[in-house]
Amino acid sequence: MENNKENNEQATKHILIVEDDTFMSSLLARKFSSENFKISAAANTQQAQEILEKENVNLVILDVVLPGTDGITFLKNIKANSKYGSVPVVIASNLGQPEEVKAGMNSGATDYIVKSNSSPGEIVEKVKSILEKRP
Amino acid sequence: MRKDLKSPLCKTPKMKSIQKETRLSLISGIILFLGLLIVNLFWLFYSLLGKNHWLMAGISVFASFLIFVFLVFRGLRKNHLAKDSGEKESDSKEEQKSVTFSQSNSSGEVQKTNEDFRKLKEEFSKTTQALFQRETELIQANKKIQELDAIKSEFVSVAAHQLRTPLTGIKWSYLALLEKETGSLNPEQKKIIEEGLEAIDYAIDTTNDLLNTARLEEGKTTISPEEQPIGPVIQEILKQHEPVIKEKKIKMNIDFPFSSPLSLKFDKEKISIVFDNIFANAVKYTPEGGSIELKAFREKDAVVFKIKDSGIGIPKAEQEKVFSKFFRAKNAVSFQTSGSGLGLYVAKNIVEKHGGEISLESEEGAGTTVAFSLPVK
Repeated sequence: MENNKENNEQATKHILIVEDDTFMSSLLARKFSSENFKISAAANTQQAQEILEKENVNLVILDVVLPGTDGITFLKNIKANSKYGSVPVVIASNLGQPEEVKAGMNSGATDYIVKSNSSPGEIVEKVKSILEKRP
Repeated sequence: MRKDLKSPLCKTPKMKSIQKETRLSLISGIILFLGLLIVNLFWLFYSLLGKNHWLMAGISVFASFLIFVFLVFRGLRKNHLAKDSGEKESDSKEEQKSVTFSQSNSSGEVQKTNEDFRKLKEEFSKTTQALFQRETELIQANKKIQELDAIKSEFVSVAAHQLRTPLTGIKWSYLALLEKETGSLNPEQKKIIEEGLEAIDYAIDTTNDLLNTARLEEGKTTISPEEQPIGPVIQEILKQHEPVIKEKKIKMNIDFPFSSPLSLKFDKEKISIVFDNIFANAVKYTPEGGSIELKAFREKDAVVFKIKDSGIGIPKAEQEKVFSKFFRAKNAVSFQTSGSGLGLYVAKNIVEKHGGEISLESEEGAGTTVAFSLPVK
């Protein structure tokens, strides 16, 4: 029994959702939770940084338009950090012009999702595929 | 007696100098001509001279002498020209002096001329000032246009974001309900949610179409072509339309293997929009139980894709407008009220940016065929 519990905990991946729209954040969190992910939610980059400092996060889902520091600047900060710089970051934003996607990818994002053209289910599948490829 | 008056017949030092210069040039020319003539004759009759070395040596010495004389005369002419230029300078100074002298003597005329010059100068100065002012205005106007362009671009981006955000919220909540995250739905609830989702997707598509059109208008749609297989792109787009194809029981005839190794150089994102817009029209305007065909074949230096549907077609009189912005045929509006009329306009622009061509054939009540090509090279 204990062994099984340990295995499950090892398999549970921790996802940090950085999204200022709490309604959308909750819908996304609901989908990830139903797929046995551990979820942390942050409404701004300051909260997100605190979580990254304290906890072991496996992947960050990051919005671009955020109060205070914007998503792209925060992404650059994540990538420059020695502690959690290797954590993959998937941008989920409703900004989707080619130059915006390019800016995100050039700043170190693993993938860029335009939220309106996607569903929470598709985002979960994308995250699973990214995490599977990682050691 | 006026000092500046000079008779044209008088032999001035300037004229003498010109005559001397002409003489020297003439002598140099004659010598050069003779030299060249001898050299040419020598080469012409070279074979006739045989091995008469003395004669050959004599001719060579004579030709060399002529060249030497030519060079001496040329040197003399140069010296003369240098001397002459010095004289000309002092002449010009003297002329200036005489003009000043004449000015003091014919003050009335000179004053009038001076006044004319002053007016001309003022006018010239005013025109120059006006030109500078116009240039400054143009630079400012150009700067303003650039600023407005940047504001417009930012506005389009922000507007798209602001429109998409609430739509995404509604879409995701409807999806949560449809995927039974809050419990199962009865058939009526399910139908309402599904139709709501269709409406939201339409609003998102229209937003995307408007955004694409705005970018095309701004000339901002650039393509980044990469060599890649086309099959998976078509397959992905068809997958997105599958639910409606199934619902309307449309028969799909695909004469193109998706696993085909056929690779073309194209921008994946943009060509996906082309296939999406054409298939969306075909699916939308084909009645239940109809059919859609897809063919791809090589034609000269291009691959042609043909998408044929058995839909409502387009009246002949309206066919020339199909690639115009916001165009929707009358029968299309009565068949399906939704539609932005931007799909084919965007598709045409993208295909042409790839160096391809797009065309349409249609018969009202029988169906429509859209064909577009992508260059192989």
